[in-house]
Amino acid sequence: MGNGYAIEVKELHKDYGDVHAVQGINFTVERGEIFSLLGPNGAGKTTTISMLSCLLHPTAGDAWVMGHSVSQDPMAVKETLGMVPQEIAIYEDLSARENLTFWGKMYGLRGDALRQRVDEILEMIGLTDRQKGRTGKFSGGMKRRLNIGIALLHKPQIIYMDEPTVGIDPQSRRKILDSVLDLNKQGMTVLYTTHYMEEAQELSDHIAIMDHGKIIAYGAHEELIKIVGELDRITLTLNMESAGVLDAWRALEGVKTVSAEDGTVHLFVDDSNLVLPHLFETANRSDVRITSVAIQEPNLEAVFLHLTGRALRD
Amino acid sequence: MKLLDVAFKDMTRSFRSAFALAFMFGVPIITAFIFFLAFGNVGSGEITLARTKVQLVNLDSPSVAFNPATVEMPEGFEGADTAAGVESMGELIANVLRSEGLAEIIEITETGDAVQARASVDGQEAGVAVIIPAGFTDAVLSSQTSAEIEFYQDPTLTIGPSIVKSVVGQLVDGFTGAKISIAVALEQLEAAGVQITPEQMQTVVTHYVQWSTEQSQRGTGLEVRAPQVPDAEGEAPDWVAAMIGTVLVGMMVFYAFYTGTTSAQTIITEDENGTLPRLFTTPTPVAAILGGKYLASGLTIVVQLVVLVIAGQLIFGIVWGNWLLVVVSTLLTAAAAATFGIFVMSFMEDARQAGFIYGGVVVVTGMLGMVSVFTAGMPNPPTGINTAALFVPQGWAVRSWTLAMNGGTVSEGLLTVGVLLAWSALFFLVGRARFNKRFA
Ligand SMILES: Nc1ncnc2c1ncn2[C@@H]1O[C@H](COP(=O)(O)OP(=O)(O)O)[C@@H](O)[C@H]1O
Ligand SMILES: [Mg+2]
Repeated sequence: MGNGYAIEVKELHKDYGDVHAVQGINFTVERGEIFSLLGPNGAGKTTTISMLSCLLHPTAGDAWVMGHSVSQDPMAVKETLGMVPQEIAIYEDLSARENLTFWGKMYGLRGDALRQRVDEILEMIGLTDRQKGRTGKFSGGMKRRLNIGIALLHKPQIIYMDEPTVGIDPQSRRKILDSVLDLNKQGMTVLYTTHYMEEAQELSDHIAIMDHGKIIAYGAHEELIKIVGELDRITLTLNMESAGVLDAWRALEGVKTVSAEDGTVHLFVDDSNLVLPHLFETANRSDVRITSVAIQEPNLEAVFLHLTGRALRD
Repeated sequence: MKLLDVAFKDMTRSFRSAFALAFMFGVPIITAFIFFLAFGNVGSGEITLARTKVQLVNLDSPSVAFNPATVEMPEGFEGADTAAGVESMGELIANVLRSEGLAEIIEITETGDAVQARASVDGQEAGVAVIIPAGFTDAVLSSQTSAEIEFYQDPTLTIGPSIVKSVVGQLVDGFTGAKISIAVALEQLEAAGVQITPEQMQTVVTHYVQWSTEQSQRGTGLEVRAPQVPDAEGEAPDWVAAMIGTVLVGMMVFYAFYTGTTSAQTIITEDENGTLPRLFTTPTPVAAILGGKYLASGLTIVVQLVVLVIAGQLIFGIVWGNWLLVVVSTLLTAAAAATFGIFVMSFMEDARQAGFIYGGVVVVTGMLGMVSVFTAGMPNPPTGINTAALFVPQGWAVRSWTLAMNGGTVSEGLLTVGVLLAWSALFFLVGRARFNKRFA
């Protein structure tokens, strides 16, 4: 199996007792591409990436990384990949150099080769000057960079990054996104997970949108946008809840879908310029006031909303 | 190889943690030091020690006349009463042990039955049995045969038996010191064809003792060691070292098990901090990752114990009686403590249970294991309380160290060694199986 793909996933399942965290997913990652798993918290991204790094045994199904089965040949899989965990995983009582040296040994590097590679990585992540300092005293951004550097020590063919930009400032985030693009330019395959659609949109050659343990859409960015087609998206808020108004809007010509969530109403319409006046009219008749309106071009957020009826962000 | 890398990383982290170092070395030494300050320079005899119960069995019946003047009496016992009218070496020793000077520390019960005396030590009715064999005087007087006074002691007691040993040892040393010098002279006489009777030998010995006493009074020649009775002024007496030894041994064992537990806890904390899962994503076998952590725990405790043994000797003047047994005790305590930690931590689901593990398990079993430290200063320890210590591995480790300190032999410690090995094996197999189930 594998068939020349960097990663091939077949009917992968993971149950935690009664929780069906991953429910039979399938996808392939081409060699040399950046592939994103996009989904809200709890979608099953970390569970999936843990199975692909042999940290968790699949309940059912299998996956092949560079042709090696994660269930049959985990050691070979681990040789080929570098893992950047979602939470920073470094030893804070060791220095940056000590961390890199230790993790390098765990990837089988020794002696001069190890020393050289540690120097290279320190340079790459910009910590050469701070290599002897206790990492516990590092800033969040520095720790993140070290967290990534560790995964690059053995020059892996594939790197997994699980939400590497969560909870950091925009500047550090930009740096990390640039480094992902950089690594990819050098030929590394990247499996990236995020719940930020802008990141998936900017980085990825292909995107799988995940929700509730399932892949609900898969393709290149443009292909995914076509799911919502040429539809405009209107987001508005009302001064009161009114099921009657929503029903009336659903009946209007040119309106495709209407969904309400926490006082916010989302509509997909053929042409917002034509539909908008009718929306106000209908609302006025029921004495409901529209308090805000926004019109958006189609994007991944819209795709997610269209497919699930929920906003991607939380 | 990777196993050693993991072990090295873990040890680096332990020895870099001020917190871990404090508990490994600081607390045990400071605790022993507090006892040292409390007892180390009290020369006035104000403290009342528990009286050690001594079963005395004097079977000595010499076939030749015995002259007490041939025995160099220890300091404080030179009075005429002790030696007057005494007909055997055994009687002399018995008189010394019965003397007023020792009455505050030891309580003598005399029987004629060695088996019964040993049985009462086994039953913890007495702390030590002193058994003087039938041919003791003859053996002492003869140049050929030898005989030894048997000290049969409760291995968990330290102070009382060591005082008794020290006193008796002085008496016998004084005599055998002479005997050795004379044996050399006798050999030369015999080689020259001269026969010598036991009576003639007594005369020679008497002269020798007089001579050697004079020599030592002039400050040359033989060294006269005074027994260190509690009211001796000046230097901390032997029993203080023994007392601090007992405390330090208790502390060493308690904190060895503490270190074993904190070391094994890094398996849980590394799991929660994500470094353990991350290790599992590297091409390193689970056995090397966990094995390295187990090894680090054992080695860390070995280092801890070695430092404390040396500190005990340098700071408190503790005399470790049998170095081979010290080495064996170090290795086995480290094994038992490390595996104890692995066992206990394998039941811990997350860091929130740490309070229960330390407060409920490490402290309770640790205190029970070193109960002999608390009862050492108790006049009448409840019967069986020292036996209770043997329900926990710490109790056996304390026993092994006490034996090593008292100069016991490895063969005497065989049961203790065996039990510690069995505890270690059990802890390791269960703990490892549970961790493997969790992570492999
Ligand atoms: N160890 C676990 N035990 C039980 N449930 C879990 C465990 N880890 C994750 N889950 C559940 O599985 C689902 C997927 O979680 P996760 O893979 O972490 O999602 P994501 O990374 O996309 O946020 C969630 O419902 C989560 O609560
Ligand atoms: Mg996640």
